[in-house]
Amino acid sequence: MMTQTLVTSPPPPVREARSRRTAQKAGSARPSVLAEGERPSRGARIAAWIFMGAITFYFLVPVYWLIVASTKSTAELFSTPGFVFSNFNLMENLVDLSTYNDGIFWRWMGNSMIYSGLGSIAMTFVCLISGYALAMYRFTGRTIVLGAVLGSMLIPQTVLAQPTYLLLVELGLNNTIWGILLPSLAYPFGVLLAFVFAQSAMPMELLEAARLDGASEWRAFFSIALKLLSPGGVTILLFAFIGSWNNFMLPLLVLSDARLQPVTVGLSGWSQASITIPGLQTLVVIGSLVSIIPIIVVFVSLQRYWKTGLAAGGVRF
Amino acid sequence: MTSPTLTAPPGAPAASPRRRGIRAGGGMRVAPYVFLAPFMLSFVVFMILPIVVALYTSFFQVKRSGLGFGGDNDSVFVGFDNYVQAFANSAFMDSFGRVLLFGVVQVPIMLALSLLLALLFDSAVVKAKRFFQLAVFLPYAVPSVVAALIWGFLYQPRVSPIVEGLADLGVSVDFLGPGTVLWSIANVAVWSVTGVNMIILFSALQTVPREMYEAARLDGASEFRMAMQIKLPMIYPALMLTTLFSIIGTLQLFNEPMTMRSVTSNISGSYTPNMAIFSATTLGGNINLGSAMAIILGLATFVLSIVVSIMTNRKKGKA
Amino acid sequence: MALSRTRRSLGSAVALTAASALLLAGCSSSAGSDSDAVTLEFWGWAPGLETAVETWNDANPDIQVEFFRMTGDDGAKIPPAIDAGTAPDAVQMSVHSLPGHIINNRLIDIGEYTDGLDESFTGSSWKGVEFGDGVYAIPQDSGPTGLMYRSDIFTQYNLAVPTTWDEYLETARALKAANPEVFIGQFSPNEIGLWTEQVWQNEGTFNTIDGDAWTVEVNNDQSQEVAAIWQTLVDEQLVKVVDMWTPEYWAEVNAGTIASINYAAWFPALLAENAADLSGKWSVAPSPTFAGSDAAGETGGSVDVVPTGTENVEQAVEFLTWLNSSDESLDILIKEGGLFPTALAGLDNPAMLTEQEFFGGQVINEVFIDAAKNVPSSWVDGPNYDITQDALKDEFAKVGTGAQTFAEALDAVQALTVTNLKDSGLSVK
Repeated sequence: MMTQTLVTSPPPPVREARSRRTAQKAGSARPSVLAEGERPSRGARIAAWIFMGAITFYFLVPVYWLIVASTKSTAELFSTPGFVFSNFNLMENLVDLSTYNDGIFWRWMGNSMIYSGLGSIAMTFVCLISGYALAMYRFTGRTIVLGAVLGSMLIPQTVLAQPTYLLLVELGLNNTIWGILLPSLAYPFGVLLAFVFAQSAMPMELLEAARLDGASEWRAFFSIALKLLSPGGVTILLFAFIGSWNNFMLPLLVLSDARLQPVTVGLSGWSQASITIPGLQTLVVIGSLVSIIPIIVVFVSLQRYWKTGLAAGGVRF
Repeated sequence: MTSPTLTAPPGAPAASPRRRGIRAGGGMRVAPYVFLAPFMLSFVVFMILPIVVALYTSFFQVKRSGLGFGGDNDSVFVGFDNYVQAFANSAFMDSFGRVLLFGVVQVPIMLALSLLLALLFDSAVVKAKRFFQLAVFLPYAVPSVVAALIWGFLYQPRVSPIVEGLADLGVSVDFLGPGTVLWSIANVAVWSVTGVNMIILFSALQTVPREMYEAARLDGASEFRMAMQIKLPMIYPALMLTTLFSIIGTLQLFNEPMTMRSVTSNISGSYTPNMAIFSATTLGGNINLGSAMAIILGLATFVLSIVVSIMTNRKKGKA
Repeated sequence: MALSRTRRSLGSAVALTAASALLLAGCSSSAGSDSDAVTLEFWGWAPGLETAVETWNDANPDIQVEFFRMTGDDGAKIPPAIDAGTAPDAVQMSVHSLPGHIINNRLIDIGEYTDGLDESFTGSSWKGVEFGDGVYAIPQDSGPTGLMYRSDIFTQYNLAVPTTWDEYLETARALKAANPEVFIGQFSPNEIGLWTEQVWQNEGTFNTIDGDAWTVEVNNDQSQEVAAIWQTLVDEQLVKVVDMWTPEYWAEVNAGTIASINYAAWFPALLAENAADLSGKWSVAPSPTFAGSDAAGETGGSVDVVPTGTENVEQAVEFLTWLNSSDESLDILIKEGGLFPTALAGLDNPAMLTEQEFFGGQVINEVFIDAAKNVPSSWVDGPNYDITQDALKDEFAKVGTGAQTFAEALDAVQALTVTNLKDSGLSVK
């Protein structure tokens, strides 16, 4: 985590200063604490299991279909029952996926990792520092910025794509990684999250104490605030990562070179081309499956952190 | 407009920036601007500027004559002509009705499901929470292109195990018919976004102090009553937020119907406002008209958000 | 916005953003050839273009071509790229989208470099690239039509292959009577090519040019005749209503419920790949004809254009001319990519006359070559072809569900096309 490498040593007063409420909340995220006092009846438990089974079925069946479909050849895709495994072609499909067009798929995956990895870390940092500034300081124009952040979420993205593209061309950034990374830094949703989070997670007294100790504003942010905000940062990081991984319209316009495309744009291109090149249909299916694996990994590895992060006051509006 | 959602709930720690402690030192005055600079720079360049460009573009038209060949294609100022054209475009107007109908049904169902799941995850009734949460959240991580591809297969006769399975039971369904396709899209939307809304509501629930439940339990309140009378009011701001985002998402519906168009012709090119804008800009090559339509959509979203905020606030006032 | 019209080559774009070069080292190949040499960027999708470009590059050190393969969505970025001045020097596109680009000043009139070239191409294909006094593209491939049919099914039910559209209706009824589960063909609201080919065959069109104004012909007499045939087919449930290109569609084909399809020369290759199990059961016959005419249908193919902003117009045209009319290039594109050429030399290429195993050893291109030489020159694409096509899809969808008739659909699209042209500031008669 970037936040951890940046924070050299967490100053002891921080823990002291955290309100009792925060500490209690962090603890309450543990199910064992939750369960105290609640003793659901056996009937309720069975009903819950049945309900959760049905819900899980609903949410996972399409994914199950994708897994089954990934093991089929093109002909079997159209001619065998969707939920039943047929000849197990997974390896052949993976080989095809890896070798088609000189293995461009893995290049796309790599691009997505770079764009989403670098992008989400930069986005998270920018959101945190902006949200922090909005929460901790009173300054001229603060209300305007807050209003603009909220208002911008009402803008249809379709209208922004083309002017943004023209702008990037003017700046000479089309067909470069910067053409993807720089626009993504304007992430109002993340700023809003960071703002709300900073309001509750960062006591004003702490900043004032740091100032009395002679710390600069810059230092106060890096050595105190960043650490306190890092749970909220994990939430933003997750949203930012998923957001940029699924970003479609802008990379499509900005990157004319297929070798620079992220995997979503590449797969969509294959999907459309499969009308004329039927063999691609199988590659789209297995490619889709492979393409969601990094997101699952990111989710699972962040799940522990960001749940407590949110619980510690993240989304309290 | 959405300011009520931003005010800290009663009992929030003294984090209010209103406290103006020490005001000495130039650093303090400059710091917020420095901190905000990276965001504001990208925000102005990549959001405000494009919007200004779109607004400007919406008041112009390309001047053509005759066959249109060999002209200079100069743009001339036409005032609100593009807006008049947009309002006269019945397909565009119809698309608003369609997404409103969609929203009236999809948003409550999706939010009710998210809330129910969040309440279950917050209670002791459900075990294996991490697995179930992952299961519910996973669809959100599936790119809409891929989601539409999967559901496209699951909706189509002959290749869909669901349609075929129902047919074997003697039930004939057409997920892609003119009357049903809207709800099939709604299903994809529910499938995709329930997870993220559940997570937001769940984390809000987790911040409710546990003592409140203890007291209620001592009073003999049932789990259901506790959910309705304690939990819901406590997470009201989060509910408000998810509702607003869902409404915005509905009006701007694009990816799901656009990609599902490849499996059925019962989704027209102007099925949703965003698709109509896309069609005018890309197929019609009329960026001026497209910009005007986009501004109208933005304003409509704005107005609806305000109306919903006011309505729900009034309701809350009564409660 | 004052956008510079000068094209930035890939190389200089990389130089401009040196920082990105660090991050993406090795991703962009910059052009570092001789100072006199010209490097052209060419985007296209036809199979085999890579080999053709390689062959050209070996023989022409002074005009080097860098090829980029386009996939599905790439067409969407062409207009913004041209408007921003970053478009390639040559692009493959559908012939139908030409006028729309021309009225937006996105294409260069290459007429001064194409003297006499018209004689190398079929009449109908060359007509598609001429507008007013200008020539805006070099034709690449085309889609003359033929009737692909399940010979086994026709034999099984003792049906003769129809040669006119009247016979087609009779055959459709006979097939339905013999086996209600099997249809003679399909009605696919989402594939307008199945409609335009027949309107074209009937010497109709969507637009014409009348002096200084466009006319809209979507619901003219020729179209109405085609509509009458389709109305009968749909009313009597003689065709399977199914959207084309969908998994469901291919499942129907594989299940043998669709006994024939009247479609373009590039379709057999797709059929062979998507219905491999039916190999040997298909044949190709000439499309049924309209009374009193032996004209064949055509779906329109693709062309290569030179976008506005290109500096090396002459070299681009030289390359595109070679690509689409030289024996050397056509040989590659036909053999490797299965291209159906528009150049007359291509139609005479011996590689065209290959026996197709999927079609029981038939030399199917004999049918399509005859058709190509019999396509009427009536068709004129209008500047809002895409809008018309999309509107037809939407209206035909309502026909497919029985909500309206073909005639009503055509009237609606006619009105919408006229309004749209007028809204664009163009004259309409």
